[in-house]
Amino acid sequence: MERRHTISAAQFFGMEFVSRITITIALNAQYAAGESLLDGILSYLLAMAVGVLLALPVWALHRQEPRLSIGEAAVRFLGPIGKLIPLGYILYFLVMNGVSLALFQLFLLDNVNPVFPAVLILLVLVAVAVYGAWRGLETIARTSACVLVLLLLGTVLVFSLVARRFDTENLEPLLAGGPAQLLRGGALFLSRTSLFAEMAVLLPYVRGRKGLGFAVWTGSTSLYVGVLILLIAGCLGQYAYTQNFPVYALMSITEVSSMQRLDGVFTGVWLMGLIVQSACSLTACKVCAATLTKGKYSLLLLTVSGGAMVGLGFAIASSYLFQSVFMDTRLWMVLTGILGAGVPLGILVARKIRGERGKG
Amino acid sequence: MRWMRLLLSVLFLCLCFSGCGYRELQERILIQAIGVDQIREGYQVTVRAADPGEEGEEVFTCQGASVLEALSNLSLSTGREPFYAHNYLVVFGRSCGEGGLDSAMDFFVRYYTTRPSVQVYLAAGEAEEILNPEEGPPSIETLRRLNQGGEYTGKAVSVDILEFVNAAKREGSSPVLPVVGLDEGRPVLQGTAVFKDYQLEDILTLEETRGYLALKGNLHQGELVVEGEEFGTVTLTISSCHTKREITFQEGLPVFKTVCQVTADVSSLSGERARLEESFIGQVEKAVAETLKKEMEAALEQSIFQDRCDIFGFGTLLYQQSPKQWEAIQDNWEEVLPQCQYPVEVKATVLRMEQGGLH
Amino acid sequence: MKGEMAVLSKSLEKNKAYFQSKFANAMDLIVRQVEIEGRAVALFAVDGLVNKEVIALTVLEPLLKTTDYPRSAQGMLEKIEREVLSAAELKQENKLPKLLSLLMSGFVLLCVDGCEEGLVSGVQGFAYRGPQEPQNEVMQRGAKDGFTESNQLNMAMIRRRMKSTALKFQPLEVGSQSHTPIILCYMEGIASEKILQRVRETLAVCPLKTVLGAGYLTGFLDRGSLFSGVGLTERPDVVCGKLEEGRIALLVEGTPSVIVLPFLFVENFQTLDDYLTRPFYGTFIRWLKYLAFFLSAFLPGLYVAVVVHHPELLPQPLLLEIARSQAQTPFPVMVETLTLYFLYEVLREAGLRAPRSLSATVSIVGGLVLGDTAVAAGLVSAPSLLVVALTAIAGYAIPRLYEPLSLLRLAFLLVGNFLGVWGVMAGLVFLLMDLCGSESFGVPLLSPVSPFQGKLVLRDVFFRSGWKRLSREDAKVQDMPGSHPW
Repeated sequence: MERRHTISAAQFFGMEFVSRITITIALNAQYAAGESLLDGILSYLLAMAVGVLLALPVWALHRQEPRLSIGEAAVRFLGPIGKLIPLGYILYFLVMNGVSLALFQLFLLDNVNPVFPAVLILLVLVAVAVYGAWRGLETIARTSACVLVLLLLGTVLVFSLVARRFDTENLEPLLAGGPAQLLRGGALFLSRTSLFAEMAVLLPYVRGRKGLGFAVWTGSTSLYVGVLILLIAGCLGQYAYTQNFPVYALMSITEVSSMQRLDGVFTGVWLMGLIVQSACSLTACKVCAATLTKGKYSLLLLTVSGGAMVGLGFAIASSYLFQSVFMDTRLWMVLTGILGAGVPLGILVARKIRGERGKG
Repeated sequence: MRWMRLLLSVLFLCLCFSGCGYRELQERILIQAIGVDQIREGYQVTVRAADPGEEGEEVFTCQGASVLEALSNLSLSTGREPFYAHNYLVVFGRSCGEGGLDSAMDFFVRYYTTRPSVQVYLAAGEAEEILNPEEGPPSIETLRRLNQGGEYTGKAVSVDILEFVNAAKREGSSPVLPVVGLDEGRPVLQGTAVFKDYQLEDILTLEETRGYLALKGNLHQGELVVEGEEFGTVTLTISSCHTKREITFQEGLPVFKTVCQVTADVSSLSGERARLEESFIGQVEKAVAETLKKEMEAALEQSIFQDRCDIFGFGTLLYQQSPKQWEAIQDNWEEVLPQCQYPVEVKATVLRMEQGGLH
Repeated sequence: MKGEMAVLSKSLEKNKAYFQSKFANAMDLIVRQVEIEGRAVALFAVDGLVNKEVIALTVLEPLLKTTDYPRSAQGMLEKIEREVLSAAELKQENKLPKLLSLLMSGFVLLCVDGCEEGLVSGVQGFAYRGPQEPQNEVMQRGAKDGFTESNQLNMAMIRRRMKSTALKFQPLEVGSQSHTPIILCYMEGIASEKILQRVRETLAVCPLKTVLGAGYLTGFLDRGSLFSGVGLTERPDVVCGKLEEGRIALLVEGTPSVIVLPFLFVENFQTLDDYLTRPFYGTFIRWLKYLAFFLSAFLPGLYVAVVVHHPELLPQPLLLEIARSQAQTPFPVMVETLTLYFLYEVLREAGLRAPRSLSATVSIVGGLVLGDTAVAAGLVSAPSLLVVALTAIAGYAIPRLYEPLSLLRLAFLLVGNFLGVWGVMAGLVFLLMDLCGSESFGVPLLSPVSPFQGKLVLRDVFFRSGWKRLSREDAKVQDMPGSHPW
C-alpha cells in the first residue's frame, strides 16, 4: 500500500469504535457480568485502564518507527524469524473475526432461524468485506464513518425508547458477587478486541492526533458500553440471564405505538458493524501479507483470508469442540496479550539491542 | 477482474438457488392469543389467530406433552406454520398455576420468536373458557386491552413475561399475575394471583390489589369512594400517588416503612348535596387516607402474614440498600418475612381552589 | 498516405483536384472559380453549412469589383486579405487537414493560383434550433433557455452570464472520423490545472471514431462506478455556477448536453431552484430528495424482505392487510413485485418513445388497465402495486439518479427476497463502499459527507445555507476533503 493513502486518526478510531460496539452487541450477560449485571460497567472501566497500559508498547514502537507496520518492523529487527510475526498476526485476525462471525451465526440460528442456510449470510457479509478491503483502507474508513452515524442514530432511537422500561427494582448493588467476577469480566472485555493488534499493523497509515483519538475511543466506548449495560440491567434485570443475546432481547421489548419491535434495527446494525470489522481486519491481514509477498496477489490473499474466516466461523458455530477451544477467554487473553503488547515489546527490545550493537 | 466477476456470478447463482420455496404470509397461523391449560397428558393450548383468508378470526385447540409440542401440533390440523411474533397475550389456566407455572412458561421465555413483552394472565378457571367461551369468543381487541383496565381503575396489575420472570428471580421476591374471569361471556379482571416459586398461592381481591399497587408505587389512577356522616358518599379520582419506602432496623429485624402521598379530585357527590363544603375537605382527606391505608394493610396481611409471599419487593429493597443484612437472612426469608414490621402511612390531599381572598 | 498532399500547392488545378477527390461522390462541395486580372481564383465551400448570400456579398462581390491587384500571386492574396474582403473573421491557412476541417465547419476557402496559402473566412449558415427550455431539467424559477447543438451559441450563452476575462474556452477535437469540435471551458485561476491537464490527456488519446453526443465521452472520463463522476446538464446557468466552483465544462458540438466534471454524488440532489428559494424551503426540499432516494432504492427490497422473512417487523394491522391481499393473489410477493417493476419500466419506456398522439393511450392503458384492473382481477395485490408506484414516483424526484436507481432497486429486490433484511443491509454497505471508494478526478465521490467536513456539510448538504453565508467563502471542488493531486 502506498504511503500516500492515509486516513485520519478520527476515521481510524471511528472504525475501531464500530468494531467495539459490534463485539459488545454479542455479549452474553453470564460471561461478562456473572451474578451482577452492573458490575459489567466496572469490568469495562477496568479493562480500559489495563488497555491503556497494554497499548504502551505499540505506541512506543510507533514513536520510534512511525513508518513501519509491525510486520515490517519484525522483519527488520528480528531477522528471518521476524517473518513469522506477520503470519501470526494474520492468524490472530482470522481467529478473532471467526469468533465474531460464529457468534453472529449462533445468534441467527438461536434467535431468528432463517429459512435459508445461515452460512450464506456469512458468505455475503465477508464477500462485501473482501470487496472493501480490496478497495483500500480509505474506502473502509469512509464507509465506517457512514455506518457509525447509522449505528449511533439507531442506538439513540432504541436506547431512548427502551429507557421507558427502566425499573430500579432490577438493579443490584455493585460488587455484590465479589471482585472475582470483576476481573473475569474485565479480562473478557479486554481480550475481545483486536484494537491493539490493528494499531500495531495500521498506525503507520494513520495521520493526525492519534493519542487523542485513542483517548476518545476509550472514553466513548466506556460511555456506550456503560449505558448499554445499565439499560440491560435496569430494563431486563434477571431476565437477561435467560437469553444468550441480551442486547437482542433489549431491542425486542422496545415499543412505540404501532412499531412493536425494533430488533430489526439491531440485526442491521450488527451486520453492518461486522462487515466493517471484518474489512478492517482483512486490510490488516493484507498489510501483514504484503511484508511476505511484497504486495503481490493481494486480491487472492484477501479472498482466501475471507474464506478462512467464514470457514472458521462456521466450524465454531457448528462444533462444540471448536467452541470450547476458540470461545475461551483465556485463549483470547493470551493472543491479545502477546500480539497486542508482547510482540511490540519484543521488537522494541530487539531494536535497542541492534542499535547498541551497531554503536559498539 | 474477469475471475472476480465469475466469482460474483457464482455467488449470485448460489443465492438464487438457495431457497425459492419461501413461506407466504397466508401459509402461517398468525397467532394473537394463546391459552394454556394443564391436563393429565400434558398441556392443552387454545389459540386465537387472525384469518388472512377472510375478515375475522380463527380458534384452534390442540394438545401435547409440552406447550411447544401442543402448539406445533396445530400444523397437523391446519397445514400451516404457527407464527408467534404477533402474539399479544398468554392466559394460563388455574390448573397451570396450581401445578407450577415454570414448565408452562418456559416456552415463552426461551423460544426465539416469542416476545418478552407479551401480557400474561391467570384464568379464574380454564384458559379455554376465556379465549373461547360458550357465548362466543370475545374480539381480540377486547383481550388485548384487558391490561389497560388495571391502569384506568388502579385495581388490577399488568404483567408481562419479562416482569413475571424478574419478579420470580429477584432476591426473595414473589411474582403476581392478573386474574381474568368471565362475566356473561365477557372477560373481566377479578383480582391478582400471588405465586410462591411459580406455584399459585392465593388471590387478592380488587381492593387488596389497589393496596398492593399503592405499596409498590404503581397506583396512578382510579376512583375511590369514601363515606362519612358529615359529607355523605364522595367519589374521588386519584390523580397521582407517590410512594416512598425506607428501611430501618429494630432488634436486628428490618422495619419497612411505606409513606404514600396521594392526590385526588372530587368527581361526584351522592345524595342531595350540590357541592362539598370547604370545611369537610379535611374529613374527606382523612377518609381517603384511611381507606387506602386499610387496603394496603389488607394486602400486606394477606400476602406477607398469611401467604408468606414477598410480592412487594421488600427483600429486593433490603438487598439493594443493605446487602450485608440481606445476606444474613436471605436463606430464611420466608420465616423472617412475617416477623418484620410494615408500618404504613398515607397522606391524602384533595385538590381544591383557594377562594379566601375573593370572599 | 504516402504521396498525399499535406499543404496547399501553388497550382490551383492541383488544389482543385485534391478537394474534388476528397469530396468525390459527395455532392455538397461548391467550387466557384473566377478570373481576376488574368489570374485564376477559386472559392471552395460545403453546401448547407455556409450562408451563400454572405459569401456573395462579402467575398465574391468585393473580389470582382476591386481592381489594381498586385501582379504576384502572394501580393494579390495579401491585398485580398487586407483591403478587399469585408468578412469579420479572416485568416491564412495552408495545412490541408485543417482546411478540410474548416470547410466542414462552415468556412469558405479562397485560393489564388500561384499562391500556396489560402484564405479562410467564417460564413456559417447552417440551420440550428434556437434556445428552448430544457425538457429534462425543468426549473420553476430558473431561466428558460437551455443549450443548443451549436458550440458557438452555447459559448455565447455562458459568456453572457460570466462577463469575466478569467473565463476561457479552449478548442479541442475528438473523433478520428467525425472530428467533432469540443470546447474546454473553465475559469482560469479557479479550476485545477491538474484536472485540466488530465482532461486534455484523456481526450487526446480517446480512440473514438465518431462522437455523436456528450454521452460518448463520459465513459472515457468516468472511473466506472455505479454512480457517475461526470455530470451532464442542459442549463447554462447551472454550468456557470459550477465553473465558479472550479469545475470544468466540455461543450460538444451537435449535442445540447454539456459535460461538467468533477461531479460529486451530492450534486445529484442539488438543483438550481434550491438556490433561488428561501433557505428553509431549500433545506426541506433537499431532505425530501434524500428520503426519495432511500425510498426509491430500498423500498421494494425492504418490502419483499420484511413480508417474506421478517413479518414480525410489521405492525399487526398492516400485517393482516398484506396477508389478506396475498391470500387472494396467485403469485408470491417477489414475483408480483418483480413483474410490476418490469411492467412499469416498459410503460415508462413506451411513454418516452411513443409519438405524442399516442401518449394519452399509453397512460390510460398503463394506469387503468395495468394498475386498477390487475388488482381488481386478483392478479396482483394492492400493497405491491402501491410499493412499486411509490418507488417509481420517488425516483422522479431525483431524475439524475434514475438510471442507477433502476438497477439498484432490482438488485435490492432480488437480494431482499433471497437473504432478507440482512441481504439488504449487506447490499447497503456494499453500495456505501462503492461510493466511498470512488473518485471523480481525484475528488472523493461522497465528499464532503465522507470524508466528513462539518462546515461544508452544514453549508450545502444537510442544510441549504442562505446566500449571505454561501457568498462568504469560496468552495472549490478540488479543495473538498480527501482530494488528492495526482
